Amino acid sequence: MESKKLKFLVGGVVIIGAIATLAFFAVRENMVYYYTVTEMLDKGQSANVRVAGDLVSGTLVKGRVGEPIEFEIYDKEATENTLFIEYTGAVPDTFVDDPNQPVEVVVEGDYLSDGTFAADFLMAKCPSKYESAESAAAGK
Amino acid sequence: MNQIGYSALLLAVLTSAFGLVAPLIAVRTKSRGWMKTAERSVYGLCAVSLVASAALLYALVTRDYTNEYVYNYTSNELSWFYTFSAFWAGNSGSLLLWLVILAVFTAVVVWQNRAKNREILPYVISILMSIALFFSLMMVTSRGSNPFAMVPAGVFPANGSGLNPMLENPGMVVHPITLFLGYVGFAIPYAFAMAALITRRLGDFWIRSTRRWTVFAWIFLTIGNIVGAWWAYVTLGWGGYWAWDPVENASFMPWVTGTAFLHSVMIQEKKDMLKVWNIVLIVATFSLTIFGTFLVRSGVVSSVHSFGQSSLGFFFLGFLGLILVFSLNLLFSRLDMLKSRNELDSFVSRESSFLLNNLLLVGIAMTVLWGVLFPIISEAVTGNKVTVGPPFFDQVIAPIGLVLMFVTGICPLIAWRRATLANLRKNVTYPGLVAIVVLVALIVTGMRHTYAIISFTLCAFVVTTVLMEFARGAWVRREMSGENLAKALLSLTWRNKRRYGGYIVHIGVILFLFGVTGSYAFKQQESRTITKGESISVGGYEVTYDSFDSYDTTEKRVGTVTFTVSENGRFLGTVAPRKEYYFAKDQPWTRIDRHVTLERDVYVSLLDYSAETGEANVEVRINPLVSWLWIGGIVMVIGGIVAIWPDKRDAQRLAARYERQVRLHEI
Repeated sequence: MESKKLKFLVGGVVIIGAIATLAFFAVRENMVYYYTVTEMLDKGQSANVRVAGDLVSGTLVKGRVGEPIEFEIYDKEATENTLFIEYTGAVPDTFVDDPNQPVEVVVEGDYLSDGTFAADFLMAKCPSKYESAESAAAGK
Repeated sequence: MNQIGYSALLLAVLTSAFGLVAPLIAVRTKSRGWMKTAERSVYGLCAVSLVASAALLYALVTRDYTNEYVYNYTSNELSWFYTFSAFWAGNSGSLLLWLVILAVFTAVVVWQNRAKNREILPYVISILMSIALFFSLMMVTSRGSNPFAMVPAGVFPANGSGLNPMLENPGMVVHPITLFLGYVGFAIPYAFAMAALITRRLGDFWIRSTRRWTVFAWIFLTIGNIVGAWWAYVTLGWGGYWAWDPVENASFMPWVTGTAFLHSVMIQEKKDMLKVWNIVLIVATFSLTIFGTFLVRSGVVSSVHSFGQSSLGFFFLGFLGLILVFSLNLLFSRLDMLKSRNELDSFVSRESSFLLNNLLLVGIAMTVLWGVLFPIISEAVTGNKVTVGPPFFDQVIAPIGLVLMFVTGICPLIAWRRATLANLRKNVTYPGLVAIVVLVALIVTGMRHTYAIISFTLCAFVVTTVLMEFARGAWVRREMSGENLAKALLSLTWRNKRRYGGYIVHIGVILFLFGVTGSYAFKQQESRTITKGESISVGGYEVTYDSFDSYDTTEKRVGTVTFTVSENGRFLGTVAPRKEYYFAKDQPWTRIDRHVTLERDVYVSLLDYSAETGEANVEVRINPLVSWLWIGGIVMVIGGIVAIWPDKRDAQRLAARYERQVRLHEI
């Protein structure tokens, strides 16, 4: 009955192969590069990339209702490097400018030749409550 | 109270360490006394972890702000209802929840097996207690995981910093606890599998005696996932219910492998095959539950609802590594005892359709895992940080899912062992006809979305095959017993709970996928800034700005716009989405509102407004068939409950089988 076993084996390999191929092409098509602010500045003009940084407190400018918002983010490792962001879309509730707790930001979009990062995706994460409480406690 | 709680945790470390060792001594010395002690240590752990939980609850309810956890997650304004959910709102509380669930489950297992499975029970206890040891150790050694950590001495905060308003939702009360019941539930079949390997008692008894646990875990994991999706849909305000966020994936993966396990064990029960595969699946499922718990706490992947970075990651990775090394090593050492006594008879048989279902489910789990780990792997290998978003998952999972739907439909039509093509052709006729009618109708009515057409056609196909299974059985029963059809249907289901419960679950899955397909393929959205009297029209619906209101309460400022919703000029109702701003936490919150029918949701969120001009930036979404997700979820759970419901005849069969296997020394 070896041939039957072989048949099942071949069937299994075909299915797994099909899934792997599907995944391989899907990765190639949907891969998005993920940079820090410094890396982004070095890289220069690029389309469809992700950048992570922290909001520079005080730079957040809201236009009229429904207009893009503008802000700057900086690199925690190299604080002199900042990136100017123009974001169109719904602003997440976690995106709050608080000088005491710099909010971590991830934006996705295009880095234009004029140095503006035009974002159409924005994710913001407050440092977790626990950490903030701990650092506050440590500071006391 | 905090001292009592912390002491209880210390005791939990000691009892679980003792409970890990004692059963092994009992085996080594063949001592009944040691075994008795080991079992007592399980009840002891259950007691101390309940005391620790009670202490935390007491601190939460009495608003003892000297407890850092209470300070972080409650405030004077928090209602009593959400005070309970604060228990698992943060990292350390949810670790305690894990521990207490595990301790209670282990106690139930010991009680259930007081008269059976005595040979493997010592190892089951030992394994479950080692998991408990890990969780309790983490709580007492890492300050960030200790739910009884105190604020600095001499500080007496008058008010807490409050629960995140997004967690103040009934979904967030249900979601974490159900998810954890599911996660921890899978520890039981895992422990039995390992114990079976250790004792070389590799019959299917470990599967049969933990089947109800597995289904139980599966039901709760299902509830946890769907309630999580519902919560995201109604509170996060981005209009969807699933974003392939790493943390969502974390709870989805064990669900998928657990589902595969539920199916593949049937092959072992029927045919004594796939023994190795079943053990691999339960190891994978259990590891994925630990991985999921870890992922939320590690900060290795950025995600909306992670608890933030901490050193916990190393603990978890270490533990995960330990589990994998232990389990797989054990499996390899017993490999020659796990030979199948049978082999598959035919390509066209129900067995091979189960095999296919398993490959597809595991394929889905692997794809998701790959998507989650891809950024980490890529950075390690190439140095480039890259990520894949939701389109990756959609692109891969959708086709696999469609094939899986087809298999779900065809499976009940294929006989066990070997089906003849003639037989199959006969069975396929009616469902096939229904599917073709639906297919033609969809195309004629102008549907052009390929995936949606395939999916809806398959929905019709699967539902028909399942309904035919019910009808055929009920018919035969009616002929034999003379009951009327409705009664025959009920008693049919009642006398074969496992099988027909499973079919009900399948209907639930299909209803769920019906909703997924509709909301995914035909969603429409429009966002604009409008003022009073203006409207946004999407997909035949008009949402018209009616009035604006703004007011302050003690804790928040609320801006709300009332819209009328109408369809082609016919008034349907009003919606009033709000934008709230919480003063104390400096946190805005967008609360969406919906007009819901079975056909679609009109989902309106107020993104921004100007109190001076009354202008509002509004996003309107039409999400077709979303309600079917929740309905499908409820049906899935009902089916699961039917399948798990105690069955006297099943219990008798199980007991008879146990005796036989004991005689044959398989157990």
